[in-house]
Amino acid sequence: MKSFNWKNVGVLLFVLMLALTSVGCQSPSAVNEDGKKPGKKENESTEDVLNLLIPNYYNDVEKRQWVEVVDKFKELNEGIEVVVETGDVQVESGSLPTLLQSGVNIPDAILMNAGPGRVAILSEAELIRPINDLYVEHKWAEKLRPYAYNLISGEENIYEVPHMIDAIGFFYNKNVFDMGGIDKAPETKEEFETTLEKLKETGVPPITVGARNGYAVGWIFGVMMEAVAGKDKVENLFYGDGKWNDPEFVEVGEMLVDWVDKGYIAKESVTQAQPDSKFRFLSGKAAMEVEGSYLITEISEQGLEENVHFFMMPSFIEGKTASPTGGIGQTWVIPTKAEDDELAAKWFDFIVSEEFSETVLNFPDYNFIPASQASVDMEPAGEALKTAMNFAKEGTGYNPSVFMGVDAKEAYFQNLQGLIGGLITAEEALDGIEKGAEKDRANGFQLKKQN
Amino acid sequence: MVMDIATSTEDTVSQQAKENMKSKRRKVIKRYVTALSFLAPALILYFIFMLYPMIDAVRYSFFDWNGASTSMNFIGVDNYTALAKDDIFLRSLGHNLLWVVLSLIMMVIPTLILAVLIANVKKGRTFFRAGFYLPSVLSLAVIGVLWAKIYDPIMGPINAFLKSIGLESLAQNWLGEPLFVIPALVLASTWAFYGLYMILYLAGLQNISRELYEAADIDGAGPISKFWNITIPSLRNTMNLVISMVVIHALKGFALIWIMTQGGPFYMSEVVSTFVYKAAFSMNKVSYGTAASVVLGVIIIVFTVGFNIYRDRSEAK
Repeated sequence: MKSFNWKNVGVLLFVLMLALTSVGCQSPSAVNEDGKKPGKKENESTEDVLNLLIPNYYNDVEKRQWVEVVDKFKELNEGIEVVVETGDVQVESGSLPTLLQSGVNIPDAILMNAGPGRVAILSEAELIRPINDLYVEHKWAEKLRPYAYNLISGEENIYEVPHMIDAIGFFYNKNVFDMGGIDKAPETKEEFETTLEKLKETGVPPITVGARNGYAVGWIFGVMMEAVAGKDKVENLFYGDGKWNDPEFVEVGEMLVDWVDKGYIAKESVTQAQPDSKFRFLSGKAAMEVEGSYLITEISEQGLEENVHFFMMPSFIEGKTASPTGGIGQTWVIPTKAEDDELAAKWFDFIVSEEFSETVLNFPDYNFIPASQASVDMEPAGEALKTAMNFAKEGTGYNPSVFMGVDAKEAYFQNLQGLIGGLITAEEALDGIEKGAEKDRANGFQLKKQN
Repeated sequence: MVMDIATSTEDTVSQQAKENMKSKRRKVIKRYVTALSFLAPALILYFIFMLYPMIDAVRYSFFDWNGASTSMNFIGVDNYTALAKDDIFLRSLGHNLLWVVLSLIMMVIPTLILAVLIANVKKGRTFFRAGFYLPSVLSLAVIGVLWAKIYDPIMGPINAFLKSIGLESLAQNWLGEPLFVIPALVLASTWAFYGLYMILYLAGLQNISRELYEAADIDGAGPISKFWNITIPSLRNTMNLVISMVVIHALKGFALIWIMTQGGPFYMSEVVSTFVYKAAFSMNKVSYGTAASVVLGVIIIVFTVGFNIYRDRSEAK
């Protein structure tokens, strides 16, 4: 009888291990909208496949919308196959820089979370390429909303094509408003204050905040800054010589503390995560929540279109109108190691085109304001987006988190948590944020934009 | 002639001595080469996967680097100087020390008592062992979410219970109050790890000779006396190991804090590991974060070495 040969088993295991390692070390494979991995068709050249990396879908509604958008592009650009891959496109988590540095499975274009700080990290490391030449060739400057173009073209090089504009404001639950005898969204400072008081009397918390996540408490504070101090004042903070501990911003901080003290915002919100806050709001356990238009798909998915609506906190300055805050929410960039710029440029042409805006704005549950000039006079099918777009017609205000340097941003998140938790005074909080901003300025952080 | 013979004999002797020396040296070298050839695979792997990253981390701490840029500026000890002046970092270190103290109080003796109780259980010992060990097999992410819900000020069972028995005034926002946030996190961490230490104690308890307890029984010693005079001295080595592990875990803890509070509110639960993560990934100051982690690493090494020296000396007495 032949004896058992351990040597052969060892060789077999080694080969198996090598095979598994090579499979395991592959990059995540891309899939088509139908869930199948795209096979390269016979006689098909590599130039015909456009690889896109976009953020993970929040829900199925978004996924369905992307399928239709890609179909529209393919209809307009016959012969181009589009492979859409979703993933973490955050710079903060380190995922995007790591992907781009690896040089493996590099897409032709990436839709990433926007913001001067984020894009600068990739551009300084030469992980994305300047696209000034493409801007000239394709005349994108004229095809973008001036507000959006100005925000990204302040420096010598342009690296991005804005995809959408954020619109952050108050979403409210109509049923809870009815309970408090409130028949419409407040339009003046007095109406807003009366609304808060009436809502409190219903026993349902007027405002919910997921303050455990800094960005969420940043949303509400940004909206309050826009309403109380005004857009010009906030703009001066980011592009001029404004200071965070300016008395007007301290006043905003005091108002936030006052809202907590009066019970308009539950003090417990300091430990509430943003997803929990959203759940609380959508399930009618809070009357209002400050969110971006991205909430719209979730409202739609839960069938709450009739019940949940959007408004911007009215300006507290006599004769002024407050805009929803935001900035560029998501933006397209081309990796330096991308294989085909021309395909990416074709995609960007589509993004700033009338056809794209028409397609997306016809979705009743679409949640973004397109950054293209073509979309300015279009009317979206969805009510909440229509309201947000009307408010943002002349551009949006500033969501501070997007426009801050890294030290100021961390200080902003922590100090606002401190305010909601009753741990510090408004003056201390704003001083703390200014200290962070000073550090950023010392490190050379200074925003520029075209006027 | 006689001189010649003597000289040649001397030459022969010295030559032989030289050859002996050479042969001895060859043997020594051979022994070293043999030893090295056995050690080399492990040493190479240790160097590549353990030492090199650590040395590299120290190297990064002397640069100004954002983690993505292709160039790094050498700035010497500037990162360390900045850390010494950074209020948040110093506060994080303070929180780490508080975490260590609370962990030692909540882990070392309570888990020992639990292990002794389980060891003395006559029936169902395996059930209790498995039951108490169960939290240790859960992922820290799950434990973090679970305890965040337990501490939830509105829907959490702790506050619900306090309210139901009329002690509403004691209900707190456990993760939102400066006084409670770190003890609450340490409690969750204790729950996650006590199974591991309990198993170590149980293993130690099995090595104590029953005869010692029988002799103590004959002498009329009570349970507390036996615990104090037999169990604790016999478990000295296990306790040393547990103390070392508790301290290292307490200084390195990250996952639970990140999931439950992210260092907030207002830096109240910021520890060095969350500080490092934020500096490196949220603020893109990789070298600054690395310097902070080097400081933490040095603290852990100093403690571990110091504790081992103290243990060796106290055992030698």
